[in-house]
Amino acid sequence: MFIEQKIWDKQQGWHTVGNGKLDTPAQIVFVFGDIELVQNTDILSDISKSYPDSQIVGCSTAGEIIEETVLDQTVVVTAVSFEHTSIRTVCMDIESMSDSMVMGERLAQALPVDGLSHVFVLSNGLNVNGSALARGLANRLPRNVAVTGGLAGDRDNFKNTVVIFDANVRSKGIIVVGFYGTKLKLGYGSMGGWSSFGIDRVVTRSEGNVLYELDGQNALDLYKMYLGDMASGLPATGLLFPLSIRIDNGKSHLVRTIMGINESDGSLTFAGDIPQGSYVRLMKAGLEQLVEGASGAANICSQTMGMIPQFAILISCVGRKLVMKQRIEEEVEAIREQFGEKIPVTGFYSYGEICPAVVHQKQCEFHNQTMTITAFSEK
Amino acid sequence: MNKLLKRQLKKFLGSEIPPNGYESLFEAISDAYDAFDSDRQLMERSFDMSSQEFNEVNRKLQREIEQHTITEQKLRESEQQLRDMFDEHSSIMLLIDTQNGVIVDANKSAQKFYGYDHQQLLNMSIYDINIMKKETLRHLINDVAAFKENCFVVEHKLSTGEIREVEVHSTPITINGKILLFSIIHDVTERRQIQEELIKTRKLESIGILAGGIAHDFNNLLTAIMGNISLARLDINDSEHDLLALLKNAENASVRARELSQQLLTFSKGGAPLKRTTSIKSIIEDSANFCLKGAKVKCEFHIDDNLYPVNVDKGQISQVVHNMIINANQAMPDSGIIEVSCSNINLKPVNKPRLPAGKYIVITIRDHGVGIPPENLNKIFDPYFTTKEQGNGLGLATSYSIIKKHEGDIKVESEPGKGTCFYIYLPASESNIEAEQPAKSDLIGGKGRILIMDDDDAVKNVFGQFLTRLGYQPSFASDGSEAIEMYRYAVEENNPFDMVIMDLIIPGGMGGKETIEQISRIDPDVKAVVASGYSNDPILSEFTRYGFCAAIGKPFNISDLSSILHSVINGAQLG
Repeated sequence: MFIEQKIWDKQQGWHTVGNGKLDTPAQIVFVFGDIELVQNTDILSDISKSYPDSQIVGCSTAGEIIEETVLDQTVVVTAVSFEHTSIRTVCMDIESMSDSMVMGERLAQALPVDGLSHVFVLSNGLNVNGSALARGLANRLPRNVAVTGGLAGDRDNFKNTVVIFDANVRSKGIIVVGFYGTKLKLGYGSMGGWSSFGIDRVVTRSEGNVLYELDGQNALDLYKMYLGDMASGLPATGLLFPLSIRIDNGKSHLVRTIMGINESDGSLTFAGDIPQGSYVRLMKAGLEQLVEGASGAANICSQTMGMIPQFAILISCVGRKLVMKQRIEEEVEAIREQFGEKIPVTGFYSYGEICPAVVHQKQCEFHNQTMTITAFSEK
Repeated sequence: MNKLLKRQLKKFLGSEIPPNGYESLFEAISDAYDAFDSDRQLMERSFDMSSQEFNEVNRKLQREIEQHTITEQKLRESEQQLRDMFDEHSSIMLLIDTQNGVIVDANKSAQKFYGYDHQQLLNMSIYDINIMKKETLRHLINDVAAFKENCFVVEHKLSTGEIREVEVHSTPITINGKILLFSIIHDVTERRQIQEELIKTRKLESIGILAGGIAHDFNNLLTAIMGNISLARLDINDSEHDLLALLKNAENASVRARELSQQLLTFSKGGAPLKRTTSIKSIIEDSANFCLKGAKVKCEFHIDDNLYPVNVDKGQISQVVHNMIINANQAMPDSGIIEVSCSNINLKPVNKPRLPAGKYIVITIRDHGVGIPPENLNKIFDPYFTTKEQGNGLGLATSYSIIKKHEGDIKVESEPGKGTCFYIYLPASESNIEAEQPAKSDLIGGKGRILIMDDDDAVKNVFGQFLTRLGYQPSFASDGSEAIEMYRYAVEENNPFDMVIMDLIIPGGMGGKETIEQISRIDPDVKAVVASGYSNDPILSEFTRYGFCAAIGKPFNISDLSSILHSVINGAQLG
């Protein structure tokens, strides 16, 4: 496996990162960048010209990750040339959020299953129900094939997100990348580091991923009460208080973050389902726990892989970035400490992550507020 | 720039303005200070909000706990009330598992009724109590559980082995997922017996109305027949044996007809026995011996010496004993012993039969004959029920009616092939035994004017013939109005009647009861005798209460009449 990485920023334009340089054409190029920059046709044209025979996939972000650095308003490019692995990519547009599960099923069916060892998914971040998408993918993919990936961001504006496919941006697009080959070793891990606080609340009214009431109280009012002056920053500031949903009779939980608010009906739209009748608690973050969470995700990833990876894609929630602010890079550093500092790393801050919830299980789940790692190696 | 950072810059570097070249660094430090402040404020606010919510939840929980405690207390009280209602209710109550019939619960009344304690009942099933066939009972339980049945009468066995008839009201209820039958049980053994008694009594009453009417007319006819026979016998010389024998046969037949008529009359409504306080011993022995004359069957008497006196109609009680002995005799065609016993008994309220508590004598007549099939036991006292080819079905019905009119009771026990036993209960009398009046058979003549009131010409003719033979002067009226007029006229003419004999009932006219009232107003000293075909009419047994000096039942013979007339004319009151 060979890797080449580049960054585009306003000050320097294109510049190379690290020592990697491809001698053979890349099969796939991952592009993660600021929403304004990835819509800049010149930048995409540059990438396309640099990798004319490669499959280019990517998305807009709430922050870009490359090596140990977290960047804003850049475009990071990672071109990968596998020695023993082939790639298939599919992109489809979703018309309505309610089609999320069906789209997941269609995308999964579009990938040939013979030799399929892993699926990586990138989706627009606002016009999709991540939970339903993950269910749809899991429904149609073989049980031994895991899915990882994430939802695009747009800084923390929650207004317009896009995916990049073949040097074009698509605001309703969802991309799946199928990896084929017996020598490819995949690792994945996802962890949050958030802790629940306060009372248990019952979801008394919700529809899909739209939450109306908790304990019979207007959900938006509750968030505003907790945020105080910061309520004006909703929906972004809502990321400071994700919801923990109890699943499996309280044995485990899923984290959900806010993607949008509706002042007229007092509802909150989350990145994944909030089932009516379920028990939820507000969550809060501690810097140390977030860093430990990232380190834990890397640890899980190593366990599932059984070796040190050659390359990793980190998808971390925008909420973590909002909380950690200047210290956000500490979570990337914690991962590099686990994998080794020479391992090429890229990734982005997202509006949601997809990864199996349980170690050694392939069934994928949609997450929020996690650091989710997909690691690659060829034996 | 952050206020704290400004102060620190001033304190350590002497100016709030960052040194040249370090502006970006201090800007980053300031952002970090602001971020920390913002985070701290957010956390503090969060904990404050959270704390407020916890307090509210605590208060809510506390209220819920208080409410819960109150509710629990109310539930406990309610449960106890229901438990008490169940336990203490006077009705018998059982909870029965529909699956296996096990008794899940039983109240105190059930324990008392069945004679088992609570734990014993819980170790039993309804199949141990209900004597119905198990399969039939299982179907019944299923029907109740399916709401097809909710009230039925069955027989339950007590711990003593006694079988009681019970009415069960049963409803399926679900407790802890099990379908149970909640059964309220009433012991209806006595009620059913009373109902049966009532039905029997009503049957007797209805037949009594018919029988009374027939007997009345029959007695009038018999009065004429017997009267004319006795007159004919008086007119025939003793040498005409053949003719006398024929008349005697005719008279005997008439007497048997009178006995049949008397039997019918015992059914008639209101027919009261002509009671006298007497000892029962001779009645029993005489009647039993009389009807077993020449029979292979013999009686063995066990009659206590100091029996309570009883107030009875000797003839009727004789008839009862007679009927019982005849039945016993017929039950043992190949000879045998009839055990006849009589003893005193003090009945307590709980004793059987259901009679008022008090002193009684009980006559027991036991045979060792063929017995009565169980299906016939409750029919044997019904009028016209008979299993004998020659029977008229009146014997036991008459006996039953007689004993009831004596405020007693009659019970039977029988086992086919082993025999039958009748128990006759008669209330003891507080009065002393009355001396028997010797029977008088000679004709006693007399003088005087006697007014006869009767609607039946044949009867009037017999009266006329008898009175004339006895030396009296008879006059006749056909109803009360005519009799009153004749009596008044005779008084006004200063030629009064010495006596009036009047029929009690005149169809379509004024009868004896009303007539004597009016004649008494004309002549308070009137001597009147009441005659009736309803020989068991209460007026005949209590004639003095109605203003009569004597009573005579139809049919009668000249001897009976002569004796009564003589007594009345000479001022004696016959009671």
